[in-house]
Amino acid sequence: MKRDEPAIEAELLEALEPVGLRELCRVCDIEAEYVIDMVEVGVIEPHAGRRPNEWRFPPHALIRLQRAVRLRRDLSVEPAGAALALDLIDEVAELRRRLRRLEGDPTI
Amino acid sequence: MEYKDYYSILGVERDASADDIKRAYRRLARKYHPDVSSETDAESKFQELQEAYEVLKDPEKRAAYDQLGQGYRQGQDFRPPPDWEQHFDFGGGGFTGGDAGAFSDFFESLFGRAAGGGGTRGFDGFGGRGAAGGFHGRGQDHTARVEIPLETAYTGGQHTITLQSPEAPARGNVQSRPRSLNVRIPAGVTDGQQIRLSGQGGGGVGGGEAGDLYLEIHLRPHPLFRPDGRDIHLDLPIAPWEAALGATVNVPTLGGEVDMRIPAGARSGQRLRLKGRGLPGSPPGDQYLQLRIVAPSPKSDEDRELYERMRDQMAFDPRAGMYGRAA
Repeated sequence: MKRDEPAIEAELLEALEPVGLRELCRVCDIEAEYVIDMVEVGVIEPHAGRRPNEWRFPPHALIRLQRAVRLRRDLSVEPAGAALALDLIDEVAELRRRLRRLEGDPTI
Repeated sequence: MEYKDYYSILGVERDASADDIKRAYRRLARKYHPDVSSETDAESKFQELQEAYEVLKDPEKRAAYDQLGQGYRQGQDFRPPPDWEQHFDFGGGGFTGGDAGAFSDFFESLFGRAAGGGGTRGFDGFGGRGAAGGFHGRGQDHTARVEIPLETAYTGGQHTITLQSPEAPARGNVQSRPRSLNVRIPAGVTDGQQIRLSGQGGGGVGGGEAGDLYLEIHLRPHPLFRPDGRDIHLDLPIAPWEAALGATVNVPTLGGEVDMRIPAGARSGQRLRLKGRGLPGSPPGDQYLQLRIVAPSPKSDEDRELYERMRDQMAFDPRAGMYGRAA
């Protein structure tokens, strides 16, 4: 990397536009039926739209879906198991963050 | 090149059954999967497991590996006999593993490069997405964890991050190549949040667009401030007379020092809030100060006399609540 290279703009995931079914399929390289399965078991949840082609997902759904795809590919985890695993992974991450905060607290 | 002992990588005996191998792989893969594991070397460990399983689960590859590797130990220098490939045919078998693009030099010299087996895996800590099928398509999205100073999260601005990007060159060992990126971090990013760097993931195939790079932000522990979302927590030591009488004290915040009024009669453990002095955002976070009363050690006779006068005049029992006595 050269020093005078312009910095790469980072966008906050939360600030990105919601994504639709087509975008999820394209980015994750999966079929729509698979995404619908993932929605049915709660891996991701649309926050708007009644029918699949109207669905809008928060940008974070993309990350969860990609993780679920990798869990299936690498560990043969089916969608319902992926939903459970991802919830637990998120919970562990949150607990680790809290632990870090508490460990840094000399009054505890 | 280094000989790889796939049996020891999976922790099985050389005569292990196919079921034993599958069980061992599944168990270790769960432990080291980059999406699940918090181990720092999970990415390379998982890759090694996949490579070992790719060979040992396939009877033909396993037989070839067993025959060639007789007498070798992990890490020992290994040269395959020049004509050994004539004895085996792996053509058409394909690679059923998740992502064979970054297998080792040792693997490739025995079984060839993984045609269509996906691209290299992602950066340290996480995995990359399997490549799009066919010969054209969008590049992989990569994900990684990065640690940034709390000050950068507050001000935003440029920060150089270094990622370990495993790559499999045409010849030679798979190497982890450090890749530095100068990134403009948005102000107000919080611990655990993700940011996207468009087009910084894997390159597209056949003119396809590049994938994106997602970074999960971790805030480096700070000696004073503890972030909680956008809020910032700080322990504030105060003197007993500041607590008793009230005082205006100087308090550090991420945006610089501010004066704050401590109310008279403040107690240890009490929390005070500096509204809007946390990480920026809409709304911005607050800074919370937990008061900690620090009693000075007497350094002179006068100091000691002061304490003695307090003892004689104040009739204070800090343990009153423990025995149901009145304070």
